[in-house]
Amino acid sequence: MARITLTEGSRQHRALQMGIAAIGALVVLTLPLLTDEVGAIETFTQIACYAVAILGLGLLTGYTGQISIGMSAFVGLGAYTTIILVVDHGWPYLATIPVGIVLCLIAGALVGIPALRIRGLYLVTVTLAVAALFPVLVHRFSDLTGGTDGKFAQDMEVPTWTPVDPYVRAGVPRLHYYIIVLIAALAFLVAWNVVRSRVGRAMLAVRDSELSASANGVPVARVKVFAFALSAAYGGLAGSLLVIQAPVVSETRFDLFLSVFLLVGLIVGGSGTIIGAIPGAIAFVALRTYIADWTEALGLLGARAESGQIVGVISGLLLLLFVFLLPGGLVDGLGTLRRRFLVVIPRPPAGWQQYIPASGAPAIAHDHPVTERPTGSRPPVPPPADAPLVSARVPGTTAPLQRTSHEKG
Amino acid sequence: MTTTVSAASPRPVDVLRADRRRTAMTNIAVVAGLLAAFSIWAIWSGGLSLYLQRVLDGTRNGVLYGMVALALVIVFKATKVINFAQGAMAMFGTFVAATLITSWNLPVALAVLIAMALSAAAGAGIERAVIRPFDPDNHLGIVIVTLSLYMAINATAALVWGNDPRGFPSLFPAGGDNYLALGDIRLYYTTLGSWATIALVVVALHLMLARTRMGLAFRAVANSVENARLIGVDVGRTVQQSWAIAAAVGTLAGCLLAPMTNLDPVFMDKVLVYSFAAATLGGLDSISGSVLGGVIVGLTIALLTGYLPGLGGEFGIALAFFVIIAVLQFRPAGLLGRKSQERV
Repeated sequence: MARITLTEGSRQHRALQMGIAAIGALVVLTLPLLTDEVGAIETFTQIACYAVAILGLGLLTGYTGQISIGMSAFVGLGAYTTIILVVDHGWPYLATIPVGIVLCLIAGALVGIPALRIRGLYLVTVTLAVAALFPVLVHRFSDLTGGTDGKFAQDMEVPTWTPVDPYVRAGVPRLHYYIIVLIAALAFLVAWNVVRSRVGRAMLAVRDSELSASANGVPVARVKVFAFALSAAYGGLAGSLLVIQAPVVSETRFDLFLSVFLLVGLIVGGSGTIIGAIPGAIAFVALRTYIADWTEALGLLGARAESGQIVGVISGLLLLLFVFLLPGGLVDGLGTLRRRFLVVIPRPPAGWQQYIPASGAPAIAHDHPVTERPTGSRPPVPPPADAPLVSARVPGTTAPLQRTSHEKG
Repeated sequence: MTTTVSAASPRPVDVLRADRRRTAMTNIAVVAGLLAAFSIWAIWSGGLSLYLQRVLDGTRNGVLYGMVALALVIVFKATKVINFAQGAMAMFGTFVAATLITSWNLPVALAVLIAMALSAAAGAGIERAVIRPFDPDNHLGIVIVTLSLYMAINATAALVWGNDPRGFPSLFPAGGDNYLALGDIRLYYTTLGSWATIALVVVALHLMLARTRMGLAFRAVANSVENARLIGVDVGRTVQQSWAIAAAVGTLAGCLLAPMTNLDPVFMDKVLVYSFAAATLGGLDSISGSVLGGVIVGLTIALLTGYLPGLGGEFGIALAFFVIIAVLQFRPAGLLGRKSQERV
């Protein structure tokens, strides 16, 4: 099969990336203008909200390796913070978001502290208890939270200076969509930068091996608490956005099932990726809204109230299917598919020439540092153009030491 | 088996064993001391008979939490897998028993036994189909598989039997006047029955572990999977048997719990959290520890919510939460568990 080969960072590769980004941005911006149906626009908005929550879970579980099923508590904390401040204290919606984020940062760090000693499946038990505790707390403090009755607020007021016309039926949902998508995009940008930063590398190191991370000077405890706090903040932000989208909360909305569904979204999308949160959120919302509607419309299970439960069965089976067949999620699957047609050759690391041996000497001389080199020695010369980048052969064999990932596809 | 360590030449195994026993005794003494202090205050404020009544009621729930914890421990001991679907599996088995009773008019005890057998078969099948392909150290994989089982089983039960709570007949004579009067306090037959059942289960398990070939294989696997495999134990089959036993024990616990609460698809969810607390408290790899942990958790919930009504009826979950965190934080091996050491 004819494949196209591109070098990472070359002009064509850049153009391709920009083109995809432009198409993506165009789709996101025009999506609510294509339809006048309020329900569809609200669904798009929900996808953006849940994408933020799944992204937060991904930062904790996918990037730092700390499995959590307590995410629903933080989403709930953010949602209740927003609605309580709006209803009881008359705050504007957007001003409540920082408060919710700060509260969730603190709560997340508190939950992260046990994670310093508790690992693996034990930690999951703790987060399960967090998820089970939240509805109980909401019930206990029902004069603040509304308890079983829930809490309602007015829709967010539409500023008059926006180009969106609030007097058509789809106007207000469209405005909600743009505000929420803007905030969600900022959240994705922050996450993208965090995982490429020093602390992001530290998170990956902790995930891959705590022991070697700490041996290499990564402050494991601080990184873990940071990851918990960060992911809780994303959860809280998602909760606030959900309230902006539909200003209703009730105590059953943020239960263990929400956490499990967020985990479904994470796995379906792809756990070790930032962008995977978007297909994950689409799967999440599709499962929770459309499949229930379809089964009801088809009447396969009769007109019983419980026919919506088919969602749970399908989600469970879907999760099993993904774990067995596509553990890397949709993003990984698409990447494998892409490599059949397009191969991107990674860019060599900057300054690689200095590590090429001058004449038969070992590649990197560990036992005498570079600074102590005798002054008369030759400066390293660039290798001939057809020299292999790294000598990727074990002495005495002809097999490549390690296949690079793009060779597999 | 001697517990004293001879001064002349203590063998390392004996030293370790004595050390473990000493730690366990200290742990239990601390917990018992706390409970005793609270009890003195409770008797002083509310009278003896009320206190004893609450203790009896608390232990009745407690042994049942202990029984679910036992199911968790049986699975955990073998391969260090925590089964988050244990509650859902027990709930499903209880529904099967309820169906056998109402639709087929079977006697309660027979229906429970058949449901236990079916659960055991289902547990073995689940282990073979979705658990065995995973490395037990792949925590994310195990969590996802058991959580998806939890979700699928819950939803299937809701689809088949509906969300409305229903009653479940008790295995033992229940009702307002079926009790032994001991002075002022009432010892209900259901309480006695729960005690007898858990005693029977624990004795049967101990006999199975100590006397049978299957139990020997199980102990070998629990000790070390690699070593067991090297000496020719069929590890897969042994783990499968442990899942089958756990599923049967869970269903039994579900059938005993259902008459007290009501039977609906989520009735085991809260119990599962209590059982996690019980299993953690007892030490996740100790069979007697899980029962002890269950009794302590049930007792504490009954006493605290009984004497401090300001805490609210849902306080049990919060208590379970604090128990889980405190135990894992300060004494991860629990009361009777084996300390885990990691070789790096």
